[in-house]
Amino acid sequence: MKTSVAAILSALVVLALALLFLGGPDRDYTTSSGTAYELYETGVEQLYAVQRAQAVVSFTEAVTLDPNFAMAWAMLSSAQTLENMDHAVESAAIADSLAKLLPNDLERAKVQLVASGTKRANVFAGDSLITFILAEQPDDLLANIAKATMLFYHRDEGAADAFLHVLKIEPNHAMAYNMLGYLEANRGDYDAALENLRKYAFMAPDLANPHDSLGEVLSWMGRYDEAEKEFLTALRLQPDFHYSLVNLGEVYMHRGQLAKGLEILEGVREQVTGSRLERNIDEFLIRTYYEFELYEESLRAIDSYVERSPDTTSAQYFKAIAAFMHGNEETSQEHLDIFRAKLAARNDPDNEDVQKHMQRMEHQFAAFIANTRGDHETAAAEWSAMLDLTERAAPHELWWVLWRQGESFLASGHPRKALDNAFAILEVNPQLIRPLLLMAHAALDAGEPEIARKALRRLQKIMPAADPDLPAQESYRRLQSEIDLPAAP
Amino acid sequence: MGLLESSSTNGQGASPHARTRWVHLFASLCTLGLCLFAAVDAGKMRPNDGTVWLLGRPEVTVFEVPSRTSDTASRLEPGDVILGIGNTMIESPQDAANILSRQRAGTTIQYLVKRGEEIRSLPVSLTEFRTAGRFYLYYGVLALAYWVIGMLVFLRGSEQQAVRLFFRMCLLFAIFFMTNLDRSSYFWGDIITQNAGAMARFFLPAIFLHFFLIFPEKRFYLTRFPWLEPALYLLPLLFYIQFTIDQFFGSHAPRIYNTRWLILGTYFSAGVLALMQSYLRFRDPLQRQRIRILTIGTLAGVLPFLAFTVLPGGRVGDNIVFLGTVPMIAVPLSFGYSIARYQVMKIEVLLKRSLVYTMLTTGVYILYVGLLLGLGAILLRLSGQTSQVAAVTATLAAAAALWPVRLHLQGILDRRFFRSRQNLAGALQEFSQEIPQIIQQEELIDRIGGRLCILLDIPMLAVYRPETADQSLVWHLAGAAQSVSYANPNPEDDHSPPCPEKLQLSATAKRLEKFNEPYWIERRGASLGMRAAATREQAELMQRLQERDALADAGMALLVPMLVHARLVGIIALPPKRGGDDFQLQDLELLSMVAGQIALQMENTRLYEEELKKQKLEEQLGFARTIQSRLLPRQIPEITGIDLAACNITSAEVSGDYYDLIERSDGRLVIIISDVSGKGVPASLLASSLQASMRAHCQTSCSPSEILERVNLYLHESTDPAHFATLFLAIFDPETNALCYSSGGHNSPVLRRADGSIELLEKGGLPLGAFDFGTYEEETITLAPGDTLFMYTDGLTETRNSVEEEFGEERVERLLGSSYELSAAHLLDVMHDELRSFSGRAVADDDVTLVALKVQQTAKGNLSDLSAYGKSGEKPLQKRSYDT
Repeated sequence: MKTSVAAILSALVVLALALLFLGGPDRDYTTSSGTAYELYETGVEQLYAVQRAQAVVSFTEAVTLDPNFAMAWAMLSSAQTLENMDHAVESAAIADSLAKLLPNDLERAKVQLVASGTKRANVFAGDSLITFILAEQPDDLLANIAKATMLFYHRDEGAADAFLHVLKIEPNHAMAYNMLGYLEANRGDYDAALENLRKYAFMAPDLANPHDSLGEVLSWMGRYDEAEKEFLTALRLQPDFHYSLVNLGEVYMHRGQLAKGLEILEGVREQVTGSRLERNIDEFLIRTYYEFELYEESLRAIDSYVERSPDTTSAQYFKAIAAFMHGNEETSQEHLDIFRAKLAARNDPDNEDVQKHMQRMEHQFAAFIANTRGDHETAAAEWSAMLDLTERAAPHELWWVLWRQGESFLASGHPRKALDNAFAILEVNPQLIRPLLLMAHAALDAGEPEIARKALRRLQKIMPAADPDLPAQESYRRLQSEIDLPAAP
Repeated sequence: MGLLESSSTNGQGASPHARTRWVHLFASLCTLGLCLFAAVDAGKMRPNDGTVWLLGRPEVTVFEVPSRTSDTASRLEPGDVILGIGNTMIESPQDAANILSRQRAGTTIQYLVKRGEEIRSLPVSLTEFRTAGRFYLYYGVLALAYWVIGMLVFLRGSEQQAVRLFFRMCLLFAIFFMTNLDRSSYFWGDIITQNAGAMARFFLPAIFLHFFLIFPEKRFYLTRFPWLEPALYLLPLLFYIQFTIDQFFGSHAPRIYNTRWLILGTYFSAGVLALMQSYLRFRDPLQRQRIRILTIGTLAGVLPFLAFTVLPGGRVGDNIVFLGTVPMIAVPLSFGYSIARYQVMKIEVLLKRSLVYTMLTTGVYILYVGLLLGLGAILLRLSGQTSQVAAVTATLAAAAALWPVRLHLQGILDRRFFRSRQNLAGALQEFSQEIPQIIQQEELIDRIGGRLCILLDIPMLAVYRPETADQSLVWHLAGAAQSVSYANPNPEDDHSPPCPEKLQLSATAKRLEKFNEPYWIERRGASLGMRAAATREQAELMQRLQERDALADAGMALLVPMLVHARLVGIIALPPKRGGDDFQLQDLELLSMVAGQIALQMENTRLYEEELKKQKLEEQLGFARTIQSRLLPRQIPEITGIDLAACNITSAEVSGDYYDLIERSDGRLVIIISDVSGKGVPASLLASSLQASMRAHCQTSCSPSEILERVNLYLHESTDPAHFATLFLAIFDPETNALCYSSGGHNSPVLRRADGSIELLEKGGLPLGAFDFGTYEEETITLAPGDTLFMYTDGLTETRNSVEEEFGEERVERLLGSSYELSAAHLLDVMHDELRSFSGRAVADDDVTLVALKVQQTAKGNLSDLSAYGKSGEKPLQKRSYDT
């Protein structure tokens, strides 16, 4: 018995040694150069760790050593794309052409998958490739990354699980943490989002993006001080990282420091002229001015937006609002019709998402008009209808609509409903000035002075830092006089 | 029960197989290897973040941040889950270890940790770190001391369970100390070291307790319930298994970590209590003395360890732990001292250059050299010289000046270390001079015993000797001595019970012979409490307990074995001292040594007495032979027509055979052949008396029967009834060839007629002297020419050969038939040769006496005509022996 066991064990040992020494190099992709493959692996690690510049160098060296190394070309194109380098498409083309020569279907599919990501950044066209690869190798990292990314951009609910699976395969894939963080934030799980984003920031401490992502989520949670630090860190690492500048400006404006925020945003806007970011800044300013009852400034911002981006769909919408604010309802309606037509022209009218977007804009406009007319009951109903169409929106994205609805409730004599809305907003971000004021007023009207005091206490910490000429200061002071509280230290 | 009781009872049950010995030695080598590995691992420099991690978890959890890193920049806290190190996410401790091993000490590295629900990125400074703490060198010395003492003990004798346990305990102590590291969990080496350390920490307490439960004597309940011994290890084993599982797979490491201290505390405390109990229970000063030092050493070592290290449960600083550990050196030292000094555990260690003595002597030399150098330097400074010659001169001067100091110190050491031996040597000197001068056993016991009684202040002393030379169950009182001294001028005042004449000692005697040391008889409550012994070990123990009680009843307090060449030849039994004092160690050592000398002398005496007896016997035999030879007629009567021959063949022991041929005044010939019962001088004397009586009666005209009746009465009256004689008496008339005979219980003579027929002369009666009654028949036959009458003693027919076959009457008759033509003398020669050939021996078992009478064809005349033999020189030997 013992002899047979010993014989089996000996055979296993011999077999293991034979496999170890005779099995040849263990490579996933075809290359004639071992050094090139090592460089490729290094580059992949660097890419996953968001060390893109270093990754470009590694991949470049790899393809220099072995110009026929298809996957190295594909990954080079990917890294170049992420680094916004010019040669990305060229690299992808080389990879694609080399892929056709590869005898192995699986390897060819993988190379093509990576190369296709370059052609349409962030949206992988080759979902058939993904399906093929995953059928062969369910744990293939590249295919899983592609799948998760695709699901992410399609706002698919399975995106988070897909990224978790990616991290299970490769715990050091930094971007996966970033994606996962945003996905969790969108689901309202801000703590989990922060955890993943901190991992992302930990893995890529020299990149601005992780800190910006962290700051963004922190600002959504109302943790403005921490968010400010993260944005400043991002800007220290990359001073021209416009997203962080915009986010930093927005943080200041949320704090009621409009001048400070505006200064930053105006500065960024100058640098990003013609970009989507510029429009985002304008839209934010329009909304923020309106939020703080600076209607004149809001109208100027609309005018400025329309002037800079006259042909955009959004411009028509803002024109309609501006016309209505100027008292020209017919013109307003015309602009709205043009907006509808443009939106329909740009998108598939049968697309459900587009339809919903259209409906949301309609309800928003109707609510706006109703509010302006003093028909707050109608406004509240319109805001509710709009909310009903935003089931995929993240909690932090809904606060403005909820606030507007709450104001409508309060104005229409439904302070309890207004209070509920205030609670819903402040649960996500307890530092927003207008919802806090709404909460205080609604509480007073609802006969809940303690809740009002609570809101006031919180405002006492915020308002002293806000601009003194901010109209909200007047509301705050009135509230202070109504609620007998000692002045904030 | 003796100090080595446990050793004996256990050693007998399971004599260690050679394989077991090799296994132990292999374990010892493994331990040494492990200790060296731990030392190398401990000395290895490594980057360290100052934390200890829990193993066996999917995440890396900080278990503790030892105090040594409090001055570093580590901001980690226990409970932190390390998610990433150095911009890399980690999934396992091995990932973390791999990253850290690539770092350099002194750098600051970013840690991503989860503290509670919060995730933080913390900079952590890596220090250069060895797991060996500040006191590791001392722990190494401790480990080495334990290993060395364990090996010394084991190599000197591994047959006893106590020795084996002590050996294992020493190995575990060595591991315990060598793995006493600042814990770190980065490298595989650390895991091995820590796991070995955990094993030592769990099993050491159990083996510590086990050892002190069987040492110095095995607890009776361990003998009664043998499963208790392995059960001691069950709990540590379970905890160790759980610890190992937790370490790698579980999540309860903190709880188990604390259990380690619980086990250590409980078992060590129990072990110390067991040792204390053993020490306090001993009344035997020898045993107490033997374990006193090791008891003190163990207490001095373990109690601070319990107080400063175990009880705080690892919640105190290194300095306090060290304070508790420093005295642990006392344990191996005290054991080493006790083994060297008292041969505890029956370990024979060379005394003169023993470990302790060597260490102390080395200390003296170190002190001497230190003083030498110091004094040399002072002399040099005082002289103001700086040259090398001056330095050498100063050093030599200092050496010369300090040499007497060194000698003095060494002398103190020698006297201290071997003091009792010197005292004993002095005490023994007197006995050594006196004992060899006393040859008589009784005198020896009386004089030396009396001296011992005075010295030891005991009322009496008894010496017992075995019933037989080999090991005996029954021991007889060989002699007793009483104390007659100024202390007790009147021994009758001592009301000690008299010494029993016999002692039934089997198990005790075995024990005394095996261990050769005094056996303390103390009736204690402990007993096996079982009706029947299940094992031989138990049976012996029970037997010994019974004997112990019997000895105690007989008033004995101490037995001292007397051994010669490892054979128990005697036992000295002593009652308690006057006034109830205990025997002192010196008393027992004196007794042991004197007992050895007495035993030797008694053995010599016995041999001398045996030799004396032998010589005496030889003398007696010579005397008996002389008597016997004188009984025999110096001359064979020469009668015409009669061929007469006789011989007496003597054996090694002289018996009472004799024959007589008497010429009566009436011309008749009296033929007597006799065999007296017994051997040696008594038989010879009886034969002599018988011969005298027969001679006297044969000169009368009485018939053979009348003569036998008278002689019978005479013998019966004058001798012990146990002594008797067989005798054949015949009166032959040469004129008529008539032969009148009567036999007193003697072998019937054989008459071979000329025609070849055989007749037995059977008339007669009982042997002579046996009874005071009895009549004897007689018969008269007529011999014809050619007839041969053959008379003999039973030595002839009862001689046996190698197959226990007797020579027998038939063979006699056959020989008579085949040798009828031979002369009487030749007939006896043939008979003699046949007898020697038959027996195959040179020396006969018994005397053989033969008488042959042959009626010649032509002859007829009176005695004066018969002189043929004298003329021809063919006269047969009157006396022969096989060796001639």
